[in-house]
This record gives sequence, C-alpha cells and structure tokens, in this order.
Amino acid sequence: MNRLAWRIALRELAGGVSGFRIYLACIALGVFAIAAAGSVTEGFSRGLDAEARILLGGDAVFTAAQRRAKPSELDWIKARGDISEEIDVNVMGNAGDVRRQVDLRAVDEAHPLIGTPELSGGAETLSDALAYENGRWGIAASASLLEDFELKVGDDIQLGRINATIRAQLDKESDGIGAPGTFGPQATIRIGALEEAGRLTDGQLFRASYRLVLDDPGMTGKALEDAAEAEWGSGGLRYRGPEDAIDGLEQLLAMLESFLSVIGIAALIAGGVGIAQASTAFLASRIPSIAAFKALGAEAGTIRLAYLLQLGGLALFGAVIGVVLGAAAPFLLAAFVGDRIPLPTILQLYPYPLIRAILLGLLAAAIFALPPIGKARATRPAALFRTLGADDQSDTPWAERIGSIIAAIALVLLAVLTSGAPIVTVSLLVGAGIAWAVLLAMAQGIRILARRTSGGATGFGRLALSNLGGPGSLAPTITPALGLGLALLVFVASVQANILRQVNETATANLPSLVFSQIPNVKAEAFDAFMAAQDIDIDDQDVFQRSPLVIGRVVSLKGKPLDVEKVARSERWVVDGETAMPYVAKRPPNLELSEGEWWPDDYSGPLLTSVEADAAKGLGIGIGDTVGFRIFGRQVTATVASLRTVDWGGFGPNSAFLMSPGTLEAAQPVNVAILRTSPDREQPIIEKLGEEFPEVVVFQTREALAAASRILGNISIAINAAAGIVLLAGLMVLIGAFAAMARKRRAESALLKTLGASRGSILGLYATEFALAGGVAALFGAAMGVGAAWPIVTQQFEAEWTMPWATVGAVSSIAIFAAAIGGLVVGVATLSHPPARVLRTA
Amino acid sequence: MTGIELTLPATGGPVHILRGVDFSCSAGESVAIVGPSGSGKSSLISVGAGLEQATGGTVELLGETLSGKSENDLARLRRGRVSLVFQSFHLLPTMTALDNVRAALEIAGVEDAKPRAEEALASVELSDRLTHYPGQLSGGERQRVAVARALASDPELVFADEPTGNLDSKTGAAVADLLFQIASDRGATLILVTHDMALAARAGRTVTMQDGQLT
Repeated sequence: MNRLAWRIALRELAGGVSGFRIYLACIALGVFAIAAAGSVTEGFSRGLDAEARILLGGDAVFTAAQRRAKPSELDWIKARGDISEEIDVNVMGNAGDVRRQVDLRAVDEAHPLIGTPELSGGAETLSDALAYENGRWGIAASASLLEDFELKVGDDIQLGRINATIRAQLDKESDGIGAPGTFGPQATIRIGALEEAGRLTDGQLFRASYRLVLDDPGMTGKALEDAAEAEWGSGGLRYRGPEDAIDGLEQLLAMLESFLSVIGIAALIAGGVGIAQASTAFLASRIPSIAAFKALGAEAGTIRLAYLLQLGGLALFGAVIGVVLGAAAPFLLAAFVGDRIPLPTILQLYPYPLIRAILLGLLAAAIFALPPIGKARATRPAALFRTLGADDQSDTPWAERIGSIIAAIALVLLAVLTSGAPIVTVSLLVGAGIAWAVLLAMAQGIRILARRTSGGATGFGRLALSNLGGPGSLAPTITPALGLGLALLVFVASVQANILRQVNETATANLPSLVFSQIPNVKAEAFDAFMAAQDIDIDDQDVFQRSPLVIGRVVSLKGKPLDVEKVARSERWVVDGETAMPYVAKRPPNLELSEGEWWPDDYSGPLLTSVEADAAKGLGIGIGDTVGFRIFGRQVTATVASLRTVDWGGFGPNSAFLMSPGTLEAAQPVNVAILRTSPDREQPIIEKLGEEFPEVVVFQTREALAAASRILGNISIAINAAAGIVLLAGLMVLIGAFAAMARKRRAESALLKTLGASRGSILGLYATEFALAGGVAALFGAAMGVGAAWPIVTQQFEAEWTMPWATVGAVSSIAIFAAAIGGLVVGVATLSHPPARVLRTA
Repeated sequence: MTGIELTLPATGGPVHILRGVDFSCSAGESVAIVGPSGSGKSSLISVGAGLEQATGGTVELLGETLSGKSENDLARLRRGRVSLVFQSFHLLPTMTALDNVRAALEIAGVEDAKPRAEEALASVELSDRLTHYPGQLSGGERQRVAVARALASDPELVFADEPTGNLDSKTGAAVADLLFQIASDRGATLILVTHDMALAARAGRTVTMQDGQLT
C-alpha cells in the first residue's frame, strides 16, 4: 500500500471533520433508513417465524366451508394427534338499539391446543367465560364489540338466535396476532350454541377448522399435507401449515422492507448532491496542496488514493453513525409504540441488514465522491502559479467516471439481489433513477433558460436570473436534491388523497348501502316482499338486487387439476379459498362483457359461467374453457361463456364467477341481496329485518368504509413519515448549499454594496434567486410525483383520479418559502461581514 | 478626511491601522497614495469610500459627512457617484462581462444600462468579450472589465486599490492608461493606491503612507 497516500490522508483527517457535516449527515441518514428498515422487518420476520405455530394454533389446520368434517375425516386427523374444532360464522348482534354484524368464533372444549387467551373484566379462564349458565351462553367479547354495542362484561346480547351473556373481555386470542380496535366486533362462544341455534346445517355460510397438534413432532408439514391429499383427494379438508399462517404477513413485510430500503436509497441519492458538493468543496480547497505534491513528484495515483482514503474513511464513519441509529430503531420502536404493533418481534442486533446498509452507503458515497476525486487528482501542477477558475479545472478522468458508474451498478445489484421483493425494489429504484435523471436534466434546462432570459430582465431580477443561469448556479444542486424528496412526498400524498376520496366519497356513493347475506332460499321471496313493504323499489336493479349463491372452490382449470403456482399472484385470491358464486338468469344492468355472450334469460342447459376478465387472465382461461368447482363435496364443471369487466366499487353482483341458473339450484343456495338507500333509512330497515329475519346478516358498508378510511389514514401517516426522510436528505443538501453559498456569495454581496446596493436589495436578490431555484424543484418534483401517482391510482387501484391541487400547492409553497428563507439567511450571513475586509481577502 | 483613526481588534491585541490621517482632494484631481505594505493605504481608501467605519476622526465624501450614516445611506451615497477598482478585480463570476458592467449601471439607476455597458466595454477594447464569463477572461481583460464597470456610470470619484498589482507590466500599463484617460475624459477624481512609482508619477499629486500616517 502506498505509504505516502496514507500519510497524506491521516494528516489531513487529523484536521477534523468540520467541513464534512453535510457529507456525514447525508450518508448517515440514508444508511440509517436502510438499516432501520432491515432491522425492524428482520425482527418482525424472526418473531413471526418463531411464533408461526402459535399463530396457527397448532401444527396444522384443516378447513372446510359450509360443512363440518365427516367422521372419517375426523378419525384420520385424531389418529395423528390432539385436535380442536372451531367454527367461524357471521351473525347479527343485537343489544338495545344497536344491531351490527358480529364475527363469531365458536370453539370446543379442547380449544386452545396451544397458547392461552388473555381475558379481563370477568371470568378468568375461557372455559368459565364460555360456560352455559341459566339458559344463556357465555361469550368472551372483543373490546370493539363492547365499544360498538356500548356494553360491558356481565351484559346480555342477542347473537342471531342465541341468547348470550358477556362473561369476559377478550384482550388477545391464544392464536391471533391481535389488533385491538382495528377490526369489527368479535366474540368467542361454544360450538354448542351454534348447533342449538341451527346455524350449522349444510348450506349455511360457515367455515369449520380443525387444529391439530401432532403426536409425532418430527412429521413435516409437507408429509402431512401429502398424506391428507392422498387420503381425501381434492374434495377433502384443506390443509394449512404454520408457514401459511404467516405467509401473507411475510410477503407484506418483504414489500415493506423493500419500500423502506428504497426510501433509504432515495435518501442516499437525494443526499448524493450533498456528498458531491462537500467532496468538491473539500477537494477544491486542496488543489494548491495537490498541485504542490505533484510538483514535488507525487503521482496521480498517490493523490487519488490519499483522497479516496479520506473520503472513504469519512463515508464509513457516516455509515457507522447511520447503522448505530438504525440498529437501535427496533428497540426504540418497541419502547415507544410496541404495544400498538400487533406483530411478534424478536429484539436483537441483526448483522445482515446492518452490513447491507453500510455497503449501500459506501457505494452511494463512491458514486458521488469519485468524480470530484478524479478531477482533483488530474489537477495540473501549474495550478500553483495561478488561481484556477471553475472552467480551468481538469475534466473528470474516465477511470473515475467508470468507477462511479460501476458503483451505481453495484448499488442497484446489491439492493435488488438482497431484497425480499426484488421486483418491487427494482421498479422503485428505476422510478427513483428516472426521477433523478429527469430532475438533473431539468436543472440544466432551467439554467440555460435563466441564462437566456436574464438579458430581457432588469435590475435585481436579472441578477437573480444571471446567478441561476451562470457558473456555480444553485439549480443543479437544489433541483434534484429537493425535487426528489418533494416528488416522493407528492406521490404518496396524491395516492393517499385519491384513495381516501375513493373510500370516503366515490365508494360511499356507488357501493350498496347494505349487504344482506344468509337469506335462506325458502324465504327469498318473503325477503323481497319485506323489502317492498319498506318502500324499496325491488324491480329497480340500481336500488335492489338479490341473487342466490353457492360457495365453492376452484379445483380444476381446462380439465386439469388446479396448480396454484401457475396462477398469477395478483389473482390467487380467486383460488386461495372458497369463492362465492351467484347464479343469475337475467343480465344485470351496467354489466359489461368484454368477450363472449350472456346466456338467455330462460337458459337451462349445461352450467355456464361468466368470469371477471382479470381473474380469467390470471387463471389462464378464456371463452369455451372449463372450470371445475367443488361445491359441498360434489364436483361440477362450468364452461366459460363470457368475460366481464367488473367495477369493484360499483353496485352489482361483484364476484369472480357468475353462474347460469338451473344446475346449482339443487346445491342448497343461500341468497345475498344488496340495497342502495339513504343513511337515515339504514337503521330502521336493519331493526325491522331483525324482527322478521333474525338469521339474515346485514353488513353496513358505510361503517366498513369509515374503518378502512381510518386504517388508510394511519398507514398514510407512516408512509409519509418514511417519505419525509428523503425530503430531509434534500433539506440537508439545501442547508449545505446555503452554507456553501453564504461563503461564495460573501464577495459578491460586498461588491454589490460598494456599487451602492442596499441591504434590502441584496436580501431580496438572494431570496428571489433561491425561491426561483426552490420553485423549479417544487414544480418538477410535484409534476413527477403526480405523474407517478396517476397510473397507480387509475390502473392499480382502479380509482377515479382527481388532481390534489391543495396538496401540490401546499408542498410547493412550503418548498419555495423554505428556499426563499434560505436565501435570506444566506443574504444576512454575507452582509454580516464588512465589505472592505471581504474584498481585501477575497 | 480629518484626524482619521482606524483600530481593529485582533487576538494579539488591537491593531492601529490609521493613526490620525488628514487627507483631502478636490474634484477632477488625481492623487496617488504610495507606501510600504501594511502602511494603511488600502484601509485609507476603504474608510474614504465608506466601506469601513473609522474609529476616530471625520470623513466627508462628496460634501456629506459619513459619520452616523447607516450602511444603506452609505450605499445610496456611493450609488453611481463613487466607484472602486480592486487589485483582485472582484467581478461577479456568475455574470458575463457585459452583465457585470450592466449590473453596476442598473444599481446606479441608469436607464439605458445595456448600451452604456456595451459602450464602456468598447472603450476598454472588450467589445468582442461581452458574453464571456470572468472565468473565461485573462487577468488583464478582467481588470479592464472592472475599469469599465467603475467608470461606466460617470462617477465623480474613483478609488483604485493596486489596479495593476495582479498584472504584468505591459498589461498593467495598458490598464493604467485606460484608467487615467477615462477618468480624465469624464472629469472624475481618481484616488489611486499603488506600489508602482511609475504609475504614481502619472497622478497629479502623490502622498506617502508610513505606519498609518501620511508623511
């Protein structure tokens, strides 16, 4: 190793890091975000892995829809270990004036096989809480149930036909991840209560689950699944293992980690300007030394190594600061908001995400610091004899340019290959890269425009434009650094505003007000009559629709057994569990067919289906193909007759499959109905319905939308906070730029004073110049944020787009205002020096 | 300037730069201030131009007493009437040669700033360098732009601090010619600080500074 380079590096570093605060802060912030994201999600991921079995409630779960296990199936499961049964149904809860849907979880005496539920306020054990006493079934109620029905432990509640008493508050399920207050009312009860109420006969809507704790702990989930498949075939109970219990959450965590990592990388990119700026300023101050070293015979390689060591060492120092803070993030999160996070966490130091963050930080530093190092090491010794202007300095040598490009490629590869969701990461990185390049190009464009238009302006406006267009312009610094953060913030805010509007306004107007389920087929006509008696125009299909439906599972496609892996991930919801299949004779109004034809109103031939177009694409089926369903253990095959475009936020039988009438009528259907009415009529209808159709479950859309709106609001706050990190990086660059400008502009300000400019004019000049640069960043940042949000809102969420003018206006104004304030600060700083002394030393 | 004192604080104790200087010159006169380095020549013109506040004595510039005037009042007084030429040129690096001269005229409130600036640059033989930035000009050219900037607004008084100090003798002589000629053509008073005795000799009067005093 080159000793001279080391000596130069160490001697110069001994001078302190005071000129490197922004350099260190930019690296530390980005590395912190990446390390924190990695450490937190790793902690959650390990926690989920460790508790997967507890979250599932056993080693395996076997499920069935609309039926309980057959004795032979039960015997097969019991032969392998301990078993507990659980039935999940929706019922209408009724207490006082409140009628609402309740998610009821009915369990047997063996529940829970593992884990212990947390109860409070009454009975201490689940057995005591659920006991049948004095003609009433005991329940353990969620906090949300008590809140929604305004009840307390000891009060009575009617659950469908079941008379129940609340004996305890259920604070945490033995096998749930628990999310107090997030979801609708829930209660746990004994299965006997449902049997007594006749809620478990075939055809009723319920789901039965059988949890199993294996006698042979060595048996793998795969072996058990294969054995079950061999025993029952595709018509049997469905297997779920511990990995399935956390699969969705793991995917969500991987997406979250990718998003947050890219936020960190975006912060490094936005902060990259600060890195480049600090490196350039530092190296510019070293040009006389470099020229002197060269004049004394030092080689360019030695100079490069000396400054690589210095800037690399400082980058490592910044990265270590970021990593220390990032490693502390899970502990801080647990300490401050741990009780509000419903996921199990294992708190410890995870080296992998920390090393990854350090490497990403160092690569980012290399991307931005190598070109200035190249420029510096190419300095000609002649610099000793004259003052070099910006245009006299050497070009960046190719070696450093290529080095910078290689570092960029390495950063992308490292980020993508180590990501849990590589496609998400690469998409986000490409987006950030394009945004960066466009902002940089725009900055150059604005510079040229300012230069060309400055001649037409007069007075200080022209001075501001000349500064913006001339050498040392602020635009290439502020526009990309601030613009990237603003773009991200506007992007998140635009998506958030549009989705919230969709939920709060559009969906409320378009979706049904009430959804009725579990209307027995024999009472279907009576139900219509009841609605008509409530002054509902049941013939107007824009107001009221009722369809019989069966629940089934897709088991084959085009005559071949279903292979879930071949189904597009976005459409797996269609085959992941049971799906509702309404059968409809008459083509509903507003139903849009994209392909094929609707069956005649009086059709009674072989079973046909109309498939939602995206689902059909994801399943790989088209017109004329067959889909096999299992309904009540019986397999039926339908031929695809048409493909539909579904407005999921609209009024109608929105289901992946609509079936032709006839064939399924023997399959004990239940009916669902949807109604559009004014909010003030909802409650009277629900109350009257409770008297005449106690078994019918009513779902109030408005309440669900309000809950969704609340959850979205909370998620948005978190995402906005994350996006704010990039803006913070941009602001740091801005502060660095202000500090550098305050130094650079000292002579200019002093000179303007000698020419007779007043303090106010000079302050106005800098405020205008900086506000112009901030305005350009705001304009293009906002435009790019909106440009990125539009396809997400309209294509991904299929929501209506409304331009979020208020958000864009607020974000842009704040950016311009902050920049103008920065300009004033720069002005005040330059004016604080007596002009005579400045001009003498400049 | 009467009894001018300038004392600046420093870590090693206060530094007495000017020690009771009396100096005056009349309209249209040219005066050279000479003396060794550190004798207080540049400080004297700083105080005279109102860039530095004297710690003692009285300064009267263009008929107005400077003491008690705010920074803005001083700026207004200089505007268009007092110009400075520096050894280090002090051009605005973000502006072209033309814009550097034009900016000074605009600050002075001159209406037809652009043609006047072009004319001023033509008078220093820089018509072909109008759109060049300072970084693209040689030292001599930079100083010629500075001279054009200083004289374009037809000031009554020009302070020049070592205007040829950073230039070779030939270029320095050319710049000095311009400075004297334009100042004379426009009837401006010229106060010149220099080490160059040949340059000083071209002034109507020469005064010598020594240890913060005129001798």
